Amino acid sequence: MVTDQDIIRIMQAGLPLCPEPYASIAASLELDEAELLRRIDAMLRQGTIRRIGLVPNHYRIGYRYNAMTVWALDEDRIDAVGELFGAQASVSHCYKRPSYPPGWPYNLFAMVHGRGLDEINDKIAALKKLIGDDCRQSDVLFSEKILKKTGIRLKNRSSEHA
Amino acid sequence: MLDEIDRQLLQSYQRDFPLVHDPFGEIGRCLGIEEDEVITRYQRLKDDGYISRIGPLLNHTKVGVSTLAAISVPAAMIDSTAGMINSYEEVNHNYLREHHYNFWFVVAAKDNERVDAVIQEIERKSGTDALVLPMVKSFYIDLGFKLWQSTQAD
Repeated sequence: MVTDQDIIRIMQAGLPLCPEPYASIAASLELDEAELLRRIDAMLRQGTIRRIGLVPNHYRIGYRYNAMTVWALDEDRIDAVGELFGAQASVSHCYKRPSYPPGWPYNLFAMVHGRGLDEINDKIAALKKLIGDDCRQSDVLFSEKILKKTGIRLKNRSSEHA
Repeated sequence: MLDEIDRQLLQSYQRDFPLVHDPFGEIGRCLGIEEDEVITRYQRLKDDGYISRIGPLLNHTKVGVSTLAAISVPAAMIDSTAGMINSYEEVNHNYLREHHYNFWFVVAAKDNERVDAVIQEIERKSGTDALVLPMVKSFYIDLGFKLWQSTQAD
């Protein structure tokens, strides 16, 4: 019995760059290709898999800077501002998170990427302008170094029982 | 250097990568190039480091639990702390940022108990209290990252 986890584990290594990549994965799982495609499609519909696609290396493409912008908003304004920020092309992720005032008053996080500091500062200034008086306080945390970035992976079987 | 076709290959297939028998042939038909050329270009983009991989992006809320966390560590301890945090396979992101809270990392595991245990160990080993910042709500519409303003692939 091939589980969804078996399928995800083999796919997250990366789709082979050959004419029939799903057939090749199906063969190694001893599944029918049509059955594999049906199972992947079902996981997409259920939302276990958010999307299938290529994962670009932003840094290599030239996006050398990323800034985590953090905003302290009144509770009743978070949804409106979050939806506004989330819809901006300059924002790659936007999340509400708990705050711990006074040391950490920020409750909305928006990630901004840029090819240079000027570009990123322009994008942040545009966000500030968008929300005007809604923001009591904000801060920008530039990335100094990527220490680890592996994406969300299911563990390998071997380490699962470790 | 990337040409217009490279840009389209990078931009347009961050989501909805074809789920068909011959996905690279399908992409070729959309872009007006041969399947062989699609594969050759993706291989080159991968070899040159423009692509991390082609595959599924998992919804972390469906496959386990995760949280963002941050700690503040003195400059002299940055290298040892980086190694300590990275040694946890539950940590999938770890960034050094210019701020009082300088270490920002994501802990993902199958349940809350394991996430909490990892954070507590990191707090104990670093001798600091962590800011624990789980996602409460997402406002992010996942369309893939817009890499270029100008490409026809948009």
